[in-house]
Amino acid sequence: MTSHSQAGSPQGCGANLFLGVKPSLELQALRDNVEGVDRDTFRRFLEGEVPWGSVGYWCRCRCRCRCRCRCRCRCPCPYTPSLFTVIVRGMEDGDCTDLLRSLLEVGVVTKERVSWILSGVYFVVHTALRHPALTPQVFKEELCELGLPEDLIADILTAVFGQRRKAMIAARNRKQQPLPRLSDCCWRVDVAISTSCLARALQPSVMMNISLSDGTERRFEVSVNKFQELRYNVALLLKQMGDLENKKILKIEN
Amino acid sequence: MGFITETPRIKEAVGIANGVDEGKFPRILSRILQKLHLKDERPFSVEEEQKLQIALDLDSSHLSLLLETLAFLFEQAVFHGPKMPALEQQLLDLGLASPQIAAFLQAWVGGGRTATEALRRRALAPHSLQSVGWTLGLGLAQSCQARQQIPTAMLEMGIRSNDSQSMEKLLMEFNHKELYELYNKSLL
Repeated sequence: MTSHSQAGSPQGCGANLFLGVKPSLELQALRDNVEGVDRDTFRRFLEGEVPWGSVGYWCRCRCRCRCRCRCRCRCPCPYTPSLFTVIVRGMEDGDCTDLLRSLLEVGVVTKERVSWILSGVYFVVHTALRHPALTPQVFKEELCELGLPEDLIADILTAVFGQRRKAMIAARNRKQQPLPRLSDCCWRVDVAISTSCLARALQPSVMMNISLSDGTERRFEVSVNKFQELRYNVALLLKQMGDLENKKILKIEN
Repeated sequence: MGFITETPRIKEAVGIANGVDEGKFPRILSRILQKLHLKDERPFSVEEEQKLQIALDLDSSHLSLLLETLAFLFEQAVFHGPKMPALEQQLLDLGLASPQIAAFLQAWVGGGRTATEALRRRALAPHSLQSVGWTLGLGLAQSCQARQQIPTAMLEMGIRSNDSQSMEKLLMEFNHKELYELYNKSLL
């Protein structure tokens, strides 16, 4: 088995995504389990299909959904989802339990084998999406070196570089935000004309209502001094961020 | 017509004040003025009040009346903001003796402006912003994304609750675009 070298890779993106001193457990299991499945059964996994003997099958509630597992009536889906439907749904939404259950209930191949194939393909897709500069050609070469069947390689390439790529990357980035982000900031300026302490106060203040992406909401008052301090700090932070982005080291292409 | 209405309790307190030693009076006044803006704190601690009782030869109820009335006079002066002649006239009308009036006016000149500003800034809102801190970082990689160069800012706002004096730290993360939107829409 030939091995890629990092210097030889034309894109310089760090080939050897999967090959190394020792391939990971998921890849070994994927290779072993795919070899043990015959071609027809494997096509069913990749494409998904209506169950045997159920031509013209309608949903139990007669809703005529046949909508590829997005059934509004929530009856068990008559379709066997494809392997990649499960993977893409899992990466985008995080929850693919219903699809996974349908896939595991096909019954022609053992659940354990299906699980190993699914986890192996998920690992390959996840690792490929992790490298932003990966090209289809380099990726295909890597997968051929792994010894995977060509139809599986073609479907993996479609999943990684197809139409759902942006949605999967956006969903993955959303999950990876450890700190909450500001979703809304409402403010109001009040001027206290008179208070119980002073007949003529004329003291301005800012009332702020902040909502964060994790649902936290806080309402608090900001005095004029503190508002100026907040404004100064945010402006300084913006300037520092701009200077950082302009630094030469960031302009080196991958 | 003064801005303070004389009541029996004020009259009694003025009588006590006129009997206080002139040397100790200015320090009592300046301490009351310093602590005027603090809501739940008394100007003197329990031990200090006990020492004052001995030094001024007053029992605890007379001392409390004296301190509360002096604080009340200062609060009214802050509220109405009278000029010095008007304030002096008001104190004369209440029956305060000349040395005590001079000490009061001296303390007012020294600490009146500070106390007024502190009371002006006192907020009624339950929470207020106390501190702002930030960190600027460069995200180089994540478990799900290799080789990225994303500047990330973390802003920490310290929000203090006026009731419990506890400080809550609110942490937020921003990228460049989000930070610019915050500055443009809310802070400019």
